[in-house]
Amino acid sequence: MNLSRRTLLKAMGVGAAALLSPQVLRAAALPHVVVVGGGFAGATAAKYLKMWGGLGVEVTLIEPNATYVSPILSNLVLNHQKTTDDLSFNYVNHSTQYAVNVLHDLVSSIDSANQTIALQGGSSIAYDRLILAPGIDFIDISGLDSSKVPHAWQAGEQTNLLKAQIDAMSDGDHFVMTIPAAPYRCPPGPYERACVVADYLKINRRFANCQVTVLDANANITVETAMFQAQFDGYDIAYRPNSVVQSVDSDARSVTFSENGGASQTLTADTLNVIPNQKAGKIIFDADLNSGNWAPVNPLNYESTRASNVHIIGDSQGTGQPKAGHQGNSEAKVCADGVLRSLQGLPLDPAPKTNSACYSPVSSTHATWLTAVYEYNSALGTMQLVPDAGYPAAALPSTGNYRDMFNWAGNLFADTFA
Amino acid sequence: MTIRRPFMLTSLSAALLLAGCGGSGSSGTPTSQVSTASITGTVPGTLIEALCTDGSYYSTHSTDDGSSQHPFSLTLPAGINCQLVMTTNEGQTNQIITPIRIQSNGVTSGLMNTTVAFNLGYVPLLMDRADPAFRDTNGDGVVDEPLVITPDLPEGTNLTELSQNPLDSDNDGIPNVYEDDDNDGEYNKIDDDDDNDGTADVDETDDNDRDDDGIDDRYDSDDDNDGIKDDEDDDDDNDGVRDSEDTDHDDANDTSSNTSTNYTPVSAYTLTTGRLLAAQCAMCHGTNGHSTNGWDSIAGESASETIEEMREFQSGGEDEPIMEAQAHGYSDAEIEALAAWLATQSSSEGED
Repeated sequence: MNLSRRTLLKAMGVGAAALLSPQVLRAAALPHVVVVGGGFAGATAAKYLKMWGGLGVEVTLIEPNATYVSPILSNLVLNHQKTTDDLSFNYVNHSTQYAVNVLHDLVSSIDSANQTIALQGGSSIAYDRLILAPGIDFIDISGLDSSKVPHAWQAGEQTNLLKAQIDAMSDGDHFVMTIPAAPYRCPPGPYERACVVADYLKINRRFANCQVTVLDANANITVETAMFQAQFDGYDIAYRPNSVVQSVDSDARSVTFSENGGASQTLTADTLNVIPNQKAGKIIFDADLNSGNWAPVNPLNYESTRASNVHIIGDSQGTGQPKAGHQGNSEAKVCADGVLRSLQGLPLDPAPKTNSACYSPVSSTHATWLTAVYEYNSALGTMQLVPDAGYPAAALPSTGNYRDMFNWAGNLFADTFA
Repeated sequence: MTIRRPFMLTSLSAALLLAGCGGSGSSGTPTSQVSTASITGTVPGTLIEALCTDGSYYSTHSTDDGSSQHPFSLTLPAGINCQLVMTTNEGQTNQIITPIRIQSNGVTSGLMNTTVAFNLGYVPLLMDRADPAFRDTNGDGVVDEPLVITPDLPEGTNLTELSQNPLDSDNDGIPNVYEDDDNDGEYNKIDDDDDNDGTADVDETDDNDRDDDGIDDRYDSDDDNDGIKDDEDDDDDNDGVRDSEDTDHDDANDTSSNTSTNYTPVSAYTLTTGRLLAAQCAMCHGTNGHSTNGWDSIAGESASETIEEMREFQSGGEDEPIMEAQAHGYSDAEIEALAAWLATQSSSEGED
């Protein structure tokens, strides 16, 4: 049977559509909200703007990639429990179920005075409200080439590169990872990774002589401290806090660092995983929306304090809430509601709440969780943990939590992409 | 290859007047329904259709004024992206269906939206399948390549070239309704069994796009592309059974409100504290409270039920530590607001 054009191209995947150079010319007919970045925060914002705003608002989502690979659960690729395909999502539902205009392009510049953005493809788009969700960018480390020494802190190729290097290890080899100074994306993530990799090498592959070393720029394990410390002890992981990376030799897979402010020392690994310090996405700096490494916003609607009608959600925003996919999804809803209200001249919700939840695997069978609810402090104009509620709350590793982890992630993925 | 033969074709051609309806939220009115009546006489008419990204459908026929260029006028909703398709010799063996692409200011796209009336000018459609310019590889009467026209577009008219065009999934310029997915010589719009699996499209349980226009029925404002919006249509799937008596697909009764979609028009955007709060449950319990897996759906529970459960969680009475932790984050007033909103949601996932 011959395939029709449509079926054939469907079989080839959405990449075929991405080959075309998209261009938009427009003038204001409906209020136009442009969302830049299709991760957990941006994809949720675009969906909820149309779900709540319907035919009264035009929404355009600009994301360079046709496929998004979730960093959430991606440590399970390293121990062969998941593949990056399992964690891949696209924007077809945004297009067909919610009538979001989807453009696979990069924003080259923002003109917040004239409310337009320029795309790398050459065209320019006018907006009434702009929502930026560019995720994270990395702070340079001398000598670091992430194509040789992966960070695997944005999922996809990087994840598979690190997986391949771990797969190539043999008994007696040394896995070294470095943890960035807080704040960074996904607070429990690096500790989770150390456990998952140690479990994989020592239990699954029975490499009794493999060594796992964690160089942490922070003074202590940043979250679920006692639990992760107990796991590290169990796996015999060498945990070295206050270890600040100074340079990397990407070919030799060696890292030079200072521990407790002492003299430089160098550690050579068989697999080296350097997760650099982080800052807001590049577009935030290009558009002068940052203060320090992050973008200051009003937590009532995530509008930039540095430019009107520009909103920043997800990892780039600087409210102090955790940088993670679940949290980005949560912020996106407050932002979408705030944008739709402001387009109608309605007052903002004076007391929005967000929440964070994260299940962390510590092996191929056990997981923990961490959760918190945030509220607005009107006196300070900031988000804070709900007082006297015992936040953040956490749980010890269990197989029940490991199963629940997939229900959590499944509904989070669907709430964002389906 | 694009067919461009503006002056070698005689007989029918047309002027398109697109009138927008800008202003205070009134949307366009369909000028006519799909007509299956064949054109009589020796001069065949042209059917002009517009498929729009909100799922709506508009059509009209050109008027035979005795000239070789029959005028027509089609009213479209302001500011909504629409794709034009023109059919000559409608209903005859020589029928030719030509999707239109518009080129202007360096942009070429099948999707256009406008807030102002304008004239497309002369559209040089093919009239005869015997014409050497006619290319139709699969013999379904739909040209292989869309016709590209180059009108002067006035201010207020936009061409939108999307990476992902819901009306044209493969971005080849042929809208989904005029593709022939199973390559049986019948394009999807007239094919009752698009995937040749022996089950009629209307009976496919996994088909969420009954009119094959690419717009999911959840968002589609005209599920059967008959030109009647679902909120005015008493037979949303055109199966001859009135919605109120139809057990398979249709809305139970939708004469007053648009039940195909679950959105709130922004012009009526209301302050619903409970909705925003309840949306913060969706990461774990699914959009609008509809879980996609073994975790609980929370849509459609009575408010008192949700409130009681949240209090149980707070007291540690349920053995659900993560919900115990979450429940401590919300005040009584907030729990009441989100519970009240969740109670307004249907407990099943919509009409399917």
